[in-house]
Amino acid sequence: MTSIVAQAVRVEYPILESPNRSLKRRFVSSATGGRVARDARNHLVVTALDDVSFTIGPGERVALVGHNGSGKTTLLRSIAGVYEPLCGSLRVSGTIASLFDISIGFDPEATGRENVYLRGFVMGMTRAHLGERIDGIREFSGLGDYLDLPLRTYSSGMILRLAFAVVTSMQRDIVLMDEWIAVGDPDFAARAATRLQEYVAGTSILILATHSEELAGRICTRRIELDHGRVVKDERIGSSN
Amino acid sequence: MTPSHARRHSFAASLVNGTRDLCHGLAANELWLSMGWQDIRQRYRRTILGPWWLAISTGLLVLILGFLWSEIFQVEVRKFLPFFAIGYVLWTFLAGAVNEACTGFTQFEGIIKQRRLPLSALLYRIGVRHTVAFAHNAVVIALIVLWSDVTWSRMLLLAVPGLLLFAAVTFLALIPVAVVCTRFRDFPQIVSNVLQVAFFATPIMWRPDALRNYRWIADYNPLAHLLDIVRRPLLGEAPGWESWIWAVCLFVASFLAAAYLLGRYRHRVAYWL
Repeated sequence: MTSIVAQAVRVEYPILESPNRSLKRRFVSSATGGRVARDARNHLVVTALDDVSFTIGPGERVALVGHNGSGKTTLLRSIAGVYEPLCGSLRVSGTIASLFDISIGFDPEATGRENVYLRGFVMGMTRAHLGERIDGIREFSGLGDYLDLPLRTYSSGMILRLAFAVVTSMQRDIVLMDEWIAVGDPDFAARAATRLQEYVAGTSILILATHSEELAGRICTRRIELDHGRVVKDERIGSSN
Repeated sequence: MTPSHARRHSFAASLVNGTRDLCHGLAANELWLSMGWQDIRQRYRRTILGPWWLAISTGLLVLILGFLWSEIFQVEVRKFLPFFAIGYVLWTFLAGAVNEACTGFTQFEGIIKQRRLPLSALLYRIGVRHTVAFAHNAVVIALIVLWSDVTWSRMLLLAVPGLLLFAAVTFLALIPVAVVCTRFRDFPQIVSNVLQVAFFATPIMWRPDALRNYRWIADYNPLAHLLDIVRRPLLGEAPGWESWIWAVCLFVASFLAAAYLLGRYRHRVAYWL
């Protein structure tokens, strides 16, 4: 069963700027001991998440809200398995699609078709999967013959179309989004919105970090507010509940 | 302050976790094979000769230096040139891959911060880039060995396991280099300096017997033995058993270093980027 269970999750970023990062301090500290050693050991750390606990079950649509720097993106990345919590536990069951940066893995010199594969591999898709989906991706993106031209000949809107078509071509149990994806000209944006809604409808859990309360209220069933890395509010919202 | 080591990090547990990452990385071969190949294609896109430019520049360098040094050292060029060419091409593969492994995680920051994936796969991708380059350079070796008077024998077949072991050691060595270089940003400089010194301290441009009283420099140089298990069969000689032992020891050492560092620190790499 798809679920995300966080118990007292704490994530700290070490600030590894040059004095700490270089070996010199290590050598100096071990050679001289005393104060320098304490300096070198006492890394500056930023606490990005502190004592975060929640249980998210299948069917939930969760909006993560909070100021810049409140820990939304860190929480998304922790759920994606990028950041391992320093303390506490974070158990995720289900396959994950992280849509933070939808055009990551694209190579401007490669053709659109090659990029579909490159992007797909980064998402953990296989060649066979992508082979079945490439016609659908070509059709939905509306790129036509452009698909066999290098990506650098595309406009930025076309690149986003392609990326969007690839990332939404495979259903996953859990979808993580950092702001709702909006792409393209009005015509495409409408189609993309429909597709994204279908895509999200087909997923078991959606976690959406957003600044828009309106969007959260429209799409989500639960609202978790973060402030300075802590959960300050966790409530049910929306008409569906 | 809560102690930061809530988890147990025993040596054995780290080895097991690291080995798992290495295996998952291998399983994701579609990712690193096609991406590594794509990287090479990108570098030579819109050129007519493509990656064959690599073979051409290697060939020119090997020919010019080979003739020059065989004059300076007063050795027969037909004997020296194949020795130098094989050593140089193998070294280019090893040193090129290790040097690039210094940025093995930093250059893929975007991917690492996007989703959880076996970190080893990213370094296999770098390994593939250099394997493709090596495959093109290998043509230079083939031509020079054909031209020289190396006698063909079944000994040549020994080069196959030799090359596999050589490549395995190189691929595994990329991992500890990448982990340490991501954490300590002075290390890439150290690595490139060490490699430069190692190039001169390893019998590539000179033969071990030219050292006379200092032969131990070659005898106790693990890299010399690693080169020998490929180079000697290609020159029609059997590598000494001690070379195989050295090479297997290097394999075990690089495997242990890779598995341990990956198991112990793979969760920290994203924080260090």
